[in-house]
Amino acid sequence: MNLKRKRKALPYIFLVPAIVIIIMIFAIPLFNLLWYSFAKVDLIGNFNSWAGFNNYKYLVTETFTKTLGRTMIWVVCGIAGIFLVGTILALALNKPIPGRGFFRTVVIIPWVIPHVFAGTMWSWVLNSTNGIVNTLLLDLGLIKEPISFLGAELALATVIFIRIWKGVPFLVMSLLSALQTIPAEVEEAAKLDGALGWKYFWHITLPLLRPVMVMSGTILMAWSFTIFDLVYVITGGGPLNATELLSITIYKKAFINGDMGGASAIAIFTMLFVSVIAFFLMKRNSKEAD
Amino acid sequence: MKKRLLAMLLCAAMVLSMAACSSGGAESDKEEKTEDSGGKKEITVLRLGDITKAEPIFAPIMDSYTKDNPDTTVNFEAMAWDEAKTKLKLLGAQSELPEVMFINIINGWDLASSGYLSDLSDLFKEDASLSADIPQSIIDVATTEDGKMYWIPSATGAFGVWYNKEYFKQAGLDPNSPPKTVEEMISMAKTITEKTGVPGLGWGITATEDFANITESFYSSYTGVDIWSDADKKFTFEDNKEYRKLFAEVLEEFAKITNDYGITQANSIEQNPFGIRTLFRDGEVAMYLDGVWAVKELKEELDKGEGSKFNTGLFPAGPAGSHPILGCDGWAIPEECKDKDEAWKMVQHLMSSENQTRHASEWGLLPILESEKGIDEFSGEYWNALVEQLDTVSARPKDKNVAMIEQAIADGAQAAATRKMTPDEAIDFMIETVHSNYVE
Repeated sequence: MNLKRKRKALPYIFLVPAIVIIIMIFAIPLFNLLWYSFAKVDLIGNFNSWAGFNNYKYLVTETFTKTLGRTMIWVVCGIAGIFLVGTILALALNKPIPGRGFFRTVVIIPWVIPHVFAGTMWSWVLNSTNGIVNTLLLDLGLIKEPISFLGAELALATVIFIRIWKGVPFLVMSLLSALQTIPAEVEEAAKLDGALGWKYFWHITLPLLRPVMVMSGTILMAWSFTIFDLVYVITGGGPLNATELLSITIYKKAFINGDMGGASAIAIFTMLFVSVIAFFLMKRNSKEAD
Repeated sequence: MKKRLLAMLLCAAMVLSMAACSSGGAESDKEEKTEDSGGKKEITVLRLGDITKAEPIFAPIMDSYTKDNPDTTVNFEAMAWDEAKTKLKLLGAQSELPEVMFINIINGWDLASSGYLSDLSDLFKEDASLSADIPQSIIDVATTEDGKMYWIPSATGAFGVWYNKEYFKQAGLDPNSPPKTVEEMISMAKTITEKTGVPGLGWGITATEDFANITESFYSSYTGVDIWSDADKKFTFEDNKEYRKLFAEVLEEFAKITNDYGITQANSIEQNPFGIRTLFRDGEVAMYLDGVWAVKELKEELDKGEGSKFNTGLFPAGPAGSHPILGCDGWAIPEECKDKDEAWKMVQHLMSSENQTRHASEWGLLPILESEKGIDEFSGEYWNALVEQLDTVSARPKDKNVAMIEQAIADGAQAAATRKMTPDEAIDFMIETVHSNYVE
């Protein structure tokens, strides 16, 4: 092999370990998931028989449509809440206020608390019988009966609120990093042109933050679709399925019903669904950037 | 191009050979383990649950076994409940299940149906003293309709009524006469609520395994039969109009307790049946349904003896009597076990009166052996009803799909209790859910 050909081959040789790892940790499980979805497979992957599209039939049932709708509410409201609160906090923490370092640290705390612990903590705090929130509201005379935060009517709103609480730090960190990259000259020039307050935010800050926002939003969306433990610990998907999301349906299908095929079919659907949304979001962002 | 292909093939071969090496290593490890090491036999005993809880209880039991059998080395291990479902099945598929293992109902029927557990019925019958020491009602719950017994019952518990004697006194009720029937329970709860202002009955209907167990207990107490037929692989109310009618009555009663009588604490839908335990302990409810599992958490008060404000009664009877389901876990031996004699010897050791008492009293279980009853560890007044209850218990579904079946029961019963479904709709929902999800 001459030197030129060797040089050409070298990058591919360096890529081999990465390709092997990607195949092992990504392609093989994905392939497994795909063929499970067309088969009857038990909990530990023992193949029983082919199922054709039978596992996918669940995707056209009313139960699944409701779960999908509920998951969309969870994702959209959760992300909207995270963006609203996260943007306000990031803008505030970007100002030279006293104790900024302390507040930035405090904001990160929900992010570093494991989902299971956070879920358990919130279910205690919001418990209708002896949770601190209800006790406080009753003691202050603001309510006469305890509020059933985790009852059928409020459970979804409650877990969305907890999702916002848990997701805000990630966005704050992302936006703070982006805000710090906005050159001081831009701000000065905008001020000279009379762009202050809301105008400055709308016409200067927001466009400059958009790439980070789109990327963060995409990541948050993918996470929101796959979050399982936070909600499962708090409500188990109940009451009366009020908080049963796609991830919980997948878990119940696989580990309670022992139906790995059915669970895989929903997982494949979720993956494609999230990928398509992410694709369009990214595409739109790159168009706007151009 | 050919060379590039060759390089890729070599890489693939290298990865495969590495994988093969690692699995070969595991195989040789396993062989070493099952063979005598240094002339000694080796046996592994597995208890499901927290190792920090299990270790102090079982270490002396394992030591005494080793002392009696110096040629055997015993390894004691524990495995968390929530990881057992997949891990045990995986170990079963690899023929690597420990020689003696503690099995719970959820995993037990699944492993048994996969052929991973030995049928111990013959060994059990041959051991005359052990088989005579376990009440027939418990043996029935642990035995399939075709006579197979895959684990020797060791950890059992059945629901009964826990009540607060002080609230009974305050309401003018006899503190030594807990309710005997469902009607009495409701009527007493009404009296207590009216006279003391404290909810007479703690009631939780979250759609969990625990609520399914409560529903099953009511069903059996109304009909006199188990909720599931393992021979027919379907609910016993599916083809029996009388049972179905009685089950509808149960669900209607659930709806009335939850919505109409005004005897429960607020927001039952948020409470797991066992979550009520804390409220009961703190005097926030006067009665609730629970089993022996509450003893450890209420021990401080219970240890006051006659001065204790808590006591127990039998599960409130329905038209067919008092038949709560029995939680029945126990010791199993895998089908692939190489030394079943040694494993059975260990099971016999674990089931000896002394060791069973240690296990039961320290873990918080019922004394199931006749030889244990009445001994100091189980002599408090509150033990009487809990132990007596063992004679009239019913069984949870003996089926590998037990988790799915009980989830359907819990979901349906919750929907009926909250009146999101009528009792008939809830029953149909349970039947349809189980039919569409049943895995053969």
